[in-house]
Amino acid sequence: MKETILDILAMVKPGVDFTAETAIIDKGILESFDIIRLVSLLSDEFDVEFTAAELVPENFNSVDAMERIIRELED
Amino acid sequence: MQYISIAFLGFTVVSLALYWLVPQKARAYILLAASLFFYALNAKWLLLPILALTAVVYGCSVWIGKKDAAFAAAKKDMPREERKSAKQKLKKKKQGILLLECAAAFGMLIVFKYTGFLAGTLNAALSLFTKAAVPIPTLLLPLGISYYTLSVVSYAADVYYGKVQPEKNPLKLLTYATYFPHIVEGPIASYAPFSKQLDAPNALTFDRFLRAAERILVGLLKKMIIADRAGMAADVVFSHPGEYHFIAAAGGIVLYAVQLYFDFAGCIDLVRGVSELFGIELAENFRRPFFSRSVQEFWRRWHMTLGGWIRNYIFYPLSLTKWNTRLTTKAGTIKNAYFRSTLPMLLPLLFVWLFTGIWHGASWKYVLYGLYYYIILASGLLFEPVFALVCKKLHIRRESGAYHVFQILRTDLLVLAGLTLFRADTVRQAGRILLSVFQIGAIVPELAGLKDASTLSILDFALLLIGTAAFAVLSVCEEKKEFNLFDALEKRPAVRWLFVTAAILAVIALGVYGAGYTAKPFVYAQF
Repeated sequence: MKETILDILAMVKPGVDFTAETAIIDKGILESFDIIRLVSLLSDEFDVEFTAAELVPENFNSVDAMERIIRELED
Repeated sequence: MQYISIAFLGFTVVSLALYWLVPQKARAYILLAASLFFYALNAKWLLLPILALTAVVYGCSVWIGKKDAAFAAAKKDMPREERKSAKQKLKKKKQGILLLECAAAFGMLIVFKYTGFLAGTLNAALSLFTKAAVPIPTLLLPLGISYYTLSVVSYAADVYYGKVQPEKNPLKLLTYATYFPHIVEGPIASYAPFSKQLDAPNALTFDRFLRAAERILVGLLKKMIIADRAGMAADVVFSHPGEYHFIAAAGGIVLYAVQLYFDFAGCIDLVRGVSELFGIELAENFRRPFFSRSVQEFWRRWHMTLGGWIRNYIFYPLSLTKWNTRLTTKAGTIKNAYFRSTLPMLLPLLFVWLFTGIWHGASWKYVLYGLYYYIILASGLLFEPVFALVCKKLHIRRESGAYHVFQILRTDLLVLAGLTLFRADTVRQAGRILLSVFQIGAIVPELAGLKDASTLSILDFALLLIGTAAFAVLSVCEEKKEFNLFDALEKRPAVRWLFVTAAILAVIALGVYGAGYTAKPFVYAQF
């Protein structure tokens, strides 16, 4: 799953190494438009439905956090 | 009672003394009493609708909390499918309650702020067919209603999303909703950090006092030395649209930008400083917006708490609604991944900017102001691949320093044009002022006329220039070296005391005062 998330991140924001990044939102690497773009691509790929409640920095600050929230939504 | 007045100083000192003298448990009530006193003094009976709405939001949030608790208790024994269906039912019920809260909050805002505008628009439409017209009511606006509404709606939505637990103590919620330092101009606070700080054991140390005092002084310097002088000159150009040309007209627009920024940022410094004295840290509202490289970035750095509110409670929820998801699905047939993910954002973005425009004022001018930014942002998004291609073809390095400077200048010019529309009385007047920038007039006589009409002396203009330049240099340091004035002062006690003394003397001797040593009202308070 991580590889797919990294591929999607590369589409949303090319040229950034997201692998070990733990403050993607806090550092402003991704902002609101990127988040919506990312969520739209993640929803398509993993067949999950995000709501505004999930769009908080804790869920998008790292690839691990994204994986965790997708798994939660899959449940 | 204005923030910059002897009365407010006295009121704050008495409130602070009581706040820190009583035991920790009682402090929130002192803050509530002070806030209600401040509100009632300024808005009189208009406190009543504020109390009523807080009661509605309190009750509805407790209701949502009970529904959530009942579901949490029952779901353990439910099979997966049943749990899913019960969750959907719960979501619908909670949505209904949230809708009720939003209808009450925005309904009240519409009644007080927009009835005149709606009646005027209706009359304009009716005049096409009949001579009949509806009367235009003149209602008094409850103090800070626009900020109050956004605060309570953010609390209601956070409870709905499960980000905060419903507050059991209605008085604590009322303290948050009416907190006197931020009720007039923000910054818009989220309930969770506010409530946490309200409960935390705290003490007013000398260091905290000094830091808060420094922030207040910086706010006063911005407001009383720079903003009020800049405003006096800008007012001349904006009250005589088309009469000043070229440098004088452009100068008037730039001076308005200087006025608005230093007025609003100064007010926020003052508010944050006063709040720090009560042990409550409020969010930052400006991060050197005129250094932004795009209009989108500008709005992330200007009035940040409003931008954050709109992002969290309008843009994200609208982007994720079913109808927008359907659009996203339809856009899924587009081959280009960039456009496939960009197009579904355009409609929510339109709502965002219409809201931003109309929130600032009840007139079509503000609607147009919102649309102006929508067009810029939507075009920026749609044409981004074209810009990238053009830069590639022309061998322009988008990460180079020169390109960054070009981006900052381009953003500032677009913002200045937007501010002209924002400040001018009508769209036509804004157009005349913008056009006059491109007409060469009698430069020297016009500048001399502008100086005379503003009633500012050469010394005033020198102070305006020196003050603005000093803050510009400070901003460059903050921008490039992550420098922080207050941290730097804390490390150098001698400089710190010199700064505090100089700032007090500067505010007393060089500040612009009106009758009774009261400064001019803050510009953003009217929104």
